[in-house]
Amino acid sequence: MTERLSAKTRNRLATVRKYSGKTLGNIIVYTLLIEFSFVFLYPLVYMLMNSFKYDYEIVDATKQWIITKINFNNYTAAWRGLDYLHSLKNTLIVVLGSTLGHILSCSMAGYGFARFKFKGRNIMFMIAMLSLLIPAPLLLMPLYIQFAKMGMHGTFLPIILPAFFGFGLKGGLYIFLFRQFFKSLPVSYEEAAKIEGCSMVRIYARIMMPIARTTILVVFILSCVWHWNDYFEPNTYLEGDTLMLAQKIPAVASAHPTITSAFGARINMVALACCTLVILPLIIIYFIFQKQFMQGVEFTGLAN
Amino acid sequence: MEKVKKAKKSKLRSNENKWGYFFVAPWIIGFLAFFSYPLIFSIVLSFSRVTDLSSIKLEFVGWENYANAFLRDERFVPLLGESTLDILIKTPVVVVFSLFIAILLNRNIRLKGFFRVAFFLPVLLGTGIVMSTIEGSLVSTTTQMAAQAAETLTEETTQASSGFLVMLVGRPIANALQTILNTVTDVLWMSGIQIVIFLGALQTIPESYYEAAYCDGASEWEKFWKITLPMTMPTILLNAVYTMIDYLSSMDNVVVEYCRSVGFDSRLLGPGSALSWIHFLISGVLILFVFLILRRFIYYET
Repeated sequence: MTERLSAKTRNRLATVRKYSGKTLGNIIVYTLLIEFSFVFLYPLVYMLMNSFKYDYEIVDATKQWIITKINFNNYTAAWRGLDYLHSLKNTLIVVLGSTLGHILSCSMAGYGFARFKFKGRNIMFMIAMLSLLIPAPLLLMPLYIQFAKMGMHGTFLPIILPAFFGFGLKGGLYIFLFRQFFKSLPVSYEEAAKIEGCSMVRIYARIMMPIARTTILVVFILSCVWHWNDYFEPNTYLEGDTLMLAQKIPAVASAHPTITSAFGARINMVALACCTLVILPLIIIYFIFQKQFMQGVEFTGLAN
Repeated sequence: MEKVKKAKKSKLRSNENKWGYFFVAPWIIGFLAFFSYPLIFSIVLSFSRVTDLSSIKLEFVGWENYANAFLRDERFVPLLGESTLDILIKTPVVVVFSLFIAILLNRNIRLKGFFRVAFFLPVLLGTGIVMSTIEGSLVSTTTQMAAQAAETLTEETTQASSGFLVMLVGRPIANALQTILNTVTDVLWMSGIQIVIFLGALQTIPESYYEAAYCDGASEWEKFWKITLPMTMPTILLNAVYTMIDYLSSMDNVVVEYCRSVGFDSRLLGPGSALSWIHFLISGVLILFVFLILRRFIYYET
């Protein structure tokens, strides 16, 4: 009898210990996560807070985080200064155009590298990976001269066109992603179709691309984000009427005063409002696709 | 019979060749138009002096541009050293930190979506103008704070926490700690993509391995060293290489910035190309070095 009781108590004790250990572990995990995500969120919160402030609130030392009155004037100034809708249109043309190019050309190249054995395959793939490492200034001057000769300056083509041929901003990385994904698929998918008499083009377009939609999403998000934030190529080729959103921030910022806050920070509220407006579409896109994006990274087979 | 087989095989072979080239064709065109030509042109440029900018007339000068980069240019070599040291310190920290965060995120936690967005934010904000605008005001805050801290130090007041720190461990160590803290923030901002890649890798580890370990009574600590780490080793290699490529070819890299300012902004095409080539070759050697070291630790299933 006593033995049974003690066994029961021991059991209960063990459960208690197990759960308390688990809660403690969870508390540590959450604390760490919240702490780290704070470091990541801080600039964003800082940007949002200050972009809604009035100047007198910035110099007020008692109000670093709290806003008493929301001020939309910064945003109207930013909207007008950026010429928002027009610049947004330019940005969308460049970003969506190059992203589409990357998805088409890199999926084709990735499929080719993954599935067919042809002469020079390995060396070509090596070159594609090497193209990632080449610092942009190396190719900048020759490309600049080349595009000038072709009369493409001041148009979006110097940025979009290379993307349709597997180059452009980080093109090599997307080829790598697609290759990894197609390599991880069993060959039986195509073999069944081949027996049915499908041509390779049809197999690629009708079978492989739909299967690869998670990878396509990953490439879509990454290519969008990087083109959206890039200023190196746009600053080289675009001018006047074709300027993209991010490029316009410095000009707008210099047209508005910078205020030194009570904490010694030099804050340009309009510039911060500009930043919010520029990245807002991106954050919305990412938030919508966040779950599929993560799944995509899992399925892309990056681990292997 | 043998002949038929061979013919069939070679036909299959040529078929594979054909389709392979077909799918890679866009990339080959891109390679010829947007890569090989500019690359060769930049090699030529690096060995020459431009005598007439508008019609690009070149004069061959041999290794002069390369020699000047090391002998005459006062800024290039220190910048190169700075960037190399920086990447050798940051790569391991980025990899360890992003693996750590990925392991935390991979547990069964609430608000997974929120945390995933939060840790991906640096990638969204980018390293572009947006970030530098926000950083502009953030950095001035921290420098201001640092200046104030320095003031309190000289006045030997120990009320400020940093002063307290100095009292505890002495000034040199306090300064070192400060540098480490700043680096940590930098590093956190560099690891968005790496965290995502590690998360993907962690999810491909079969659950049965952990269950088996659990049955044998392994602790979390042992599970990490015996299962998680060996299984993610290839990803660690990938992430280390990715971090280095990303850092060394990024527009924010000090050397890349300098190359651009020489070659593009001041229109010194020859020296600019030579500097870029030196940077590229050194980066390549560095990455190869790290790759070869890390590859030895990869565990292959037999």
